[in-house]
Formats: sequence, structure tokens, C-alpha cells
Amino acid sequence: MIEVEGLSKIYGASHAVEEVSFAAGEGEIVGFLGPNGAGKTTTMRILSCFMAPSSGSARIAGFDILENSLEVRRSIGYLPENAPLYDEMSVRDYLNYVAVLRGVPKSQRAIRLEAALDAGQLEHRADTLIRKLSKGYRQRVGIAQAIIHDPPVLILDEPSSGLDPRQRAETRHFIKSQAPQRTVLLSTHILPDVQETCSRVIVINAGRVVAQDAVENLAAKASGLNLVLARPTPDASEKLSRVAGVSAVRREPNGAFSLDLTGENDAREEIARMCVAENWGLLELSRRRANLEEVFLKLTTSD
Amino acid sequence: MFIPFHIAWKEIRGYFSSWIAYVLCAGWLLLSGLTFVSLLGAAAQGAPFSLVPLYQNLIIVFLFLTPLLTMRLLAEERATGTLELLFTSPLTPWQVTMGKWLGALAFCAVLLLLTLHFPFFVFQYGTLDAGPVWGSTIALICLAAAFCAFGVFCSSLCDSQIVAGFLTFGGLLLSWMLAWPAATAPDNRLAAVAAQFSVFAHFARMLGGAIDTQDLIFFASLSFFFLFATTRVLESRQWK
Repeated sequence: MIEVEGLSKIYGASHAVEEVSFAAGEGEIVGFLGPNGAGKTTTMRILSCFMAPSSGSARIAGFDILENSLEVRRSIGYLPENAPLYDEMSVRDYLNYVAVLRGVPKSQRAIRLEAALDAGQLEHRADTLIRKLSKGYRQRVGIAQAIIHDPPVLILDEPSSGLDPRQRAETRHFIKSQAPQRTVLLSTHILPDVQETCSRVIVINAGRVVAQDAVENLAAKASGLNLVLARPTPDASEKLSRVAGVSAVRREPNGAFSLDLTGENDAREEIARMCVAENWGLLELSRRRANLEEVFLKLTTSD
Repeated sequence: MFIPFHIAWKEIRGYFSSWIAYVLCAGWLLLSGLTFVSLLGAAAQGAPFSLVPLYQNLIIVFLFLTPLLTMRLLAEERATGTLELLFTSPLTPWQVTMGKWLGALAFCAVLLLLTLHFPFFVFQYGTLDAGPVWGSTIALICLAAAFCAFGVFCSSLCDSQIVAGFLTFGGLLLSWMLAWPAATAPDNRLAAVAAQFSVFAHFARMLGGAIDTQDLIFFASLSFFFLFATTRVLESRQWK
């Protein structure tokens, strides 16, 4: 549904987005994760045809963003970081106006309007002026406008920023409910949202994709082992790093070692055997499960 | 319905859902009414009566009113981020520009409708020379079309409504002043060329009721030029 290839956006000398490539299949919910200023919004603006890329290409629902821009825009529902609302309109008038702009035929407008009000749980606020709505309701109107034309692809830029915990849970619930019919690209830096809603995560940092995988795989890759030895020899680090499945070994004070794993096979058995054979005096061997937050920090901290 | 009409209708509703429409209508009625009364006063003193000076005064009102009408059209969308809604919808820059322009122009048409009772009074209680009334109405519509196109263009350039308003006002004022050198130095060629570019020189010719295609084409091309420039500005956003 979304295919992105080598997308770059250059502002003068700085790269906002550099060679970004990824894909999202039909009905998939993909999380777009990265610190502020990583290039998430720029990428989303390019995909929604608000901006043109400096180089690279992208296809949405089979249409090229540069060659078939109007078709692409018909196929996506986009919620920018700040919901694009007209304060002087009522919720109903606003959604009706957006339906017209997005090309919903007149015969279907009433049905789509009800569906959008329903999705945003806005029925009882339909005739309220947008100016008078709270932040949470404004965000719901933003979500309702994104789906008013029943698009196959939804692009949501930080849909739950500034919401309280209950509203965030509702937003998560909404996003999850979109899964079978729509492909969702969701940018956020609220990690529990990603963990709960997304099947796959793309991590972007300083304009580049640094990782993309299923949430559990990412966590597994960043997990490792903690090892404490009573009598480690000076060459213990080197020997441990040669064990299959171990990618890095860090020696810490008091005989402690921290091992990173490649994630392919469980190295624990082999390490235990080596400790006994070398007579290092194995005191502790435990698994360290990384959570998404650690993965995120690890991937997006450059040192 | 044609998409620009929907955008225009939204703009008109926007004017009337804020104070601006009512304040402008009130100011417009007050100023045109005062002018009409003073014309009647002059006629009572024995001067020949004509409605042309009324329309001549209205152009000055337009000069102040157009920036107020057009300054928010695109600048506000840019400032509040709703431009992102417009350009992630399947719309072309022409549709958006035309919609905005038609909205402002329709409001000007409403204002012109509000002055129809003046010729009606004259018709009812005296003799009406219809030629200048028609000529002036067409001239005012042409003028409003060109002014609004320029206003929409200025509004597309920045995200500050105030700056857009001042740009529009400054540009329109300059266009008025272009006719001045020709009035003081009739032999100067440069002054004559400058006067050709003055909206007001063309407007003054039409007021008398003589509609020349030259003047119509001038206003049409001026409007088209600024609308086209607006679409270019909107398109260039993509590449920034």
C-alpha cells in the first residue's frame, strides 16, 4: 500500500530526510518512531503530497506521489500534527466541507458524515463551534476529517500528543480498529502507543531509517545477557565474544560482563559451559530483556 | 457543484459569522449614504444632478475595504496550518485560488447590491440617466475583481494577515498614484505609460457609461495575472 524508495528532502545544506525507504502492506499498522526533528513530519508531508521530495520516489495505493498526486491525495486520510480546523465552523459544517474538498459524491456525503462523527464519537458535539471544543475533542475532529472520504491509507502525525491518558487509550483503540480495512502509518514518540497498536516499527533518526522490524524482534535484538564471574581471566572478554550469537561484550567492574546478542540463537548454554571449562567461577547468568524505550534510546543516541 | 464555489461559499459564511461583514456593510452604507445626501444637497442648490460622484467616492472605500476582505484568505490558512488540509486534498492550486477570489468578489457584489436603492430613489422621484449607473456598476465590479485578485495574491505571500493587508493597501494606493504624473505633466511620455497602468484611469473612463473593450481587457488581464501569480506561489510551497 505504501512503498517508499530512497526519499530525500534537502533544505540548503541540511538533509531533513535522507534516503528513506520502507514499505507497508495492506491492513498493516506501522509505527513511525523517532525523536523530535528526526524527519517524521517531513516524510509524512511528502507522502501526503504537501511537499515534494528532493529525490527518491514513493507510491501510495499504486499511485506515484509526483505523477498521480491527485489520485494519491484521494487515497489518503491525513492528520497533521496540529489538526487543521476552521474555528468559526461547527463540527458538522467543517466535516461536510472537508468531504466536499476530498471529493465525496453528494449522494454519499450524509452517510460518510455520520460515519466520521461516529468514529470520532462526536455525535453530541456535531453542532458545536470548533472554537469552543477542548483539545481532546479538536483532535477527534481531526481524526474524523482524516477518514471522512473512506481512504485506504491513513497517515497520522502524532495523533495522541497533548491528550490525557483516557483520550490516548481511546485514540489507540480507534487506530487498532482501523487495521483490517486501512493501512495506517502512525508517527509518535509515545512508546506504549506503538507497543500496543503497531505490528511493525520504523525507527528514524537524523533523517535516516535506523531500524525497521516487528516490535518484538526489535526488543529481542536489543536484549542481551548479564554475566557475573568470580575469577575472570584477562582474556575472558575476548573468549566470550567468540561465542556464536554474541555480538558485543562489555566488561564492567566486580567481575560483571554485559553481553549483546545477535538474536539468532540462544548463547546461554554455550557460555555456561565455557565458564565451567575455564574455571571462571560462574556466579550469575541472566537474560536482560530490553523494552522498546531502551531500543529507542539505543538506536537514536549517536555516540 | 463546482469546487471553487464551495470554497467561495465557505468564505462568505466566514465573513458573516464574524463581525467583519457587518462592520464593513455598515461602514459602506454610512459612507455611500452620506455621499448621496450631499449630492442631493448640491442638487437642491441648483447644480446638475448625477450619481457618478457617488461611484467615484466608492472607489476610495474599496481601496480601504479590499485589504480587510482579502488579507486573511490565504495568510490565515498558512498561519493556522489549514493550508495543509487544502493541499493534501485532491485540489489544484487553481481551484483554491479561484474559490478564495470568488468569495471575496461575491462579498463585494453584496456591497454593490446594497447601493441599488440610490438609483431606485432617483428613478422614483426624478429622472435617471441609466447609462452612467450601468457603466459605474460594471466598472466597480471590474475594479473589485482586480483588487480582490491582488489581495488574494498578497495574502498568499505571507502568513501574517497584517502584513498581507498592508501589502494590498500599499499596492492599491500605488496603482492610484500612477495616474497623478499624467495629470500634472500631460506631455510626458513616461507619465502617460504610467497612467495606462493605473487602475483608476481605466475606472474613470468607464464611470461615464462608455464601456470600452480596452478597459475590460485591462481589468480581466490584471485579475488573471494576479490569480495566476497566486497559483504559482501556492505551487512553489511544495518545493520549499
